[in-house]
Amino acid sequence: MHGSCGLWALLLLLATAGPTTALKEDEKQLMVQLHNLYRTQVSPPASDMLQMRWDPELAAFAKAYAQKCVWGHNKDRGRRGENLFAITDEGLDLPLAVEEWHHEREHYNFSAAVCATGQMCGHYTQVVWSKTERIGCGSHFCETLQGVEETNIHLLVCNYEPPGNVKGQRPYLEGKPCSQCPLDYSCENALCEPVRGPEEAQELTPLVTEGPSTVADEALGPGKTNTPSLATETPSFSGREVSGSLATTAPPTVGTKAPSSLGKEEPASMATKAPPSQNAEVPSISATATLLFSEEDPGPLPRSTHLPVLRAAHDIASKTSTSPTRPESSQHPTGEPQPRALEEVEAEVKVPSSSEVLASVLPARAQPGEPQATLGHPKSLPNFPSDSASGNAIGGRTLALQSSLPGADGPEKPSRKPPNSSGHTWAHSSGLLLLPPLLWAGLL
Amino acid sequence: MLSISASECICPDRILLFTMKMHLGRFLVLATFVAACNAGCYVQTLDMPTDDSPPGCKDDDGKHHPLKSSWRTSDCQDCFCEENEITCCNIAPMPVEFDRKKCQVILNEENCTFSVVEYKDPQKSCDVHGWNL
Repeated sequence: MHGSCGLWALLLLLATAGPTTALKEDEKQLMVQLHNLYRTQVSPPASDMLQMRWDPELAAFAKAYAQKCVWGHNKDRGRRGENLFAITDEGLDLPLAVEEWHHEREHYNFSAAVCATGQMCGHYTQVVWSKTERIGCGSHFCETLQGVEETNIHLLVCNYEPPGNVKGQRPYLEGKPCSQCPLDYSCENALCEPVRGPEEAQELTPLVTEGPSTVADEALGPGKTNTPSLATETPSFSGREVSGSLATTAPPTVGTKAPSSLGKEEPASMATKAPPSQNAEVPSISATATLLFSEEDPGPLPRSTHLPVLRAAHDIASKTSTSPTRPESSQHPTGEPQPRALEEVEAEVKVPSSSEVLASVLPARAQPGEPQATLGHPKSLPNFPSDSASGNAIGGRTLALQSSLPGADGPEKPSRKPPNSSGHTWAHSSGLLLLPPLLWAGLL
Repeated sequence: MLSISASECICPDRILLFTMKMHLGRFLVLATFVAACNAGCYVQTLDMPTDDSPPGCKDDDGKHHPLKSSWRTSDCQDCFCEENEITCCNIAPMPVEFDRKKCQVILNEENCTFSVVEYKDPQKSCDVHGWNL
């Protein structure tokens, strides 16, 4: 049974989820997830960390700027924070981008509120700036950029509100998670989440009806949606302790999302390249969403497609052998595996498509306690391809997906090296290897 | 096995930072990272202006900037004067995706750009695939 379902899902994925729609939709959610994941894993812990949510207007703003292909920050960004990432290669790797920003953490001394001399920290501190609760990103493939000789670059622009990096302030208040949330905020997975007001609730309604999670995320903004969107759920997973539960919960969510809404919305969005700020409302969501990540570019998305599969494989493999790559991670008091976080995040990000597939395939299978489905490092891959994967693999994948979502890291997860291009390559290949087993599983 | 030594970082001059040496058996890898300080964007909130103060912003050096004007700092930041605040962003994209084992980043202060060259032979430039801005 599962098999047939899985196959169906797989085919569906291959047929529809291609490079275009779903992935992009997922990318938006993943960006939110990645940010929230990192935000839940700050060390020392934050007492006032707000949950970050997608903001269509910001996204449109970011997208509009990305399309200008300028090699530098937006001078008209006003009171918006801004992180940029540019990459050549085949495509834009969102997890890598956020990870690169987050890596600056290595140079940031929270207690002293200083950045190591000569190092960069601003991207990291923006990612974990507690008062920043809205994010919107857009990307664009630029054949040429103003100000540099570089060509064929994927440019990612993320804008934030309120802006972070206020000189003289720390990125967040240290303390027990959620112990200093603003009024009208509740605690959700160690992040302060706004309590929905009546008006917001109304807005939500439409979204819900529209369906899938994706929409909800964007549209909503602040509130939490009924529909489990990755974004919302993510946080919970992040909780290390929660790990067990994560597995169970997560899968379903993922499944819901992917397929449906994305397809519809994307197209629309593409059409609307419209300038920022116009659509604030729910309905607009689709439009906004699309605006953001919809790229005309050839390449950015592709990766995600492949990755997902890889991830799954990873998970499986990782179970057997995980190796902590980053030394630093262990340092954190909380025992949070920061490095891991990255891995997981990556997993999530890359997973999107696959995750969806998987989810749909094995929704019920999600195993609790598997949060650890870490992406082991590349070396584990070899094992992966094996058939054993098929049966358990699926479960493993599912887990992976889930765990990946929010920081479902077990405390002890091994960390993985920051993704280098090489890693990606690997991923691709592994993904291909994984396909056959998946198909088999589906058939059975 | 793995030793990381930090050499000096002259932030104001933006020259570089640290060297990481990895001894792996007979394999010696040297990686040098150079970075500018405070890369990214930041906001500096200004004190409320007094009645007799001209509209605009006063930076840390005490220099006055007209409202809505922009300027480039000596440390490769583009700043803008907003109402009661100064916003700045680093203008030198930081290479982050390159062969860190073989190459090092060097900041060219004159034009606020980074170049990535081979550690052993600074005359040879290295491929860079990704940047943080």
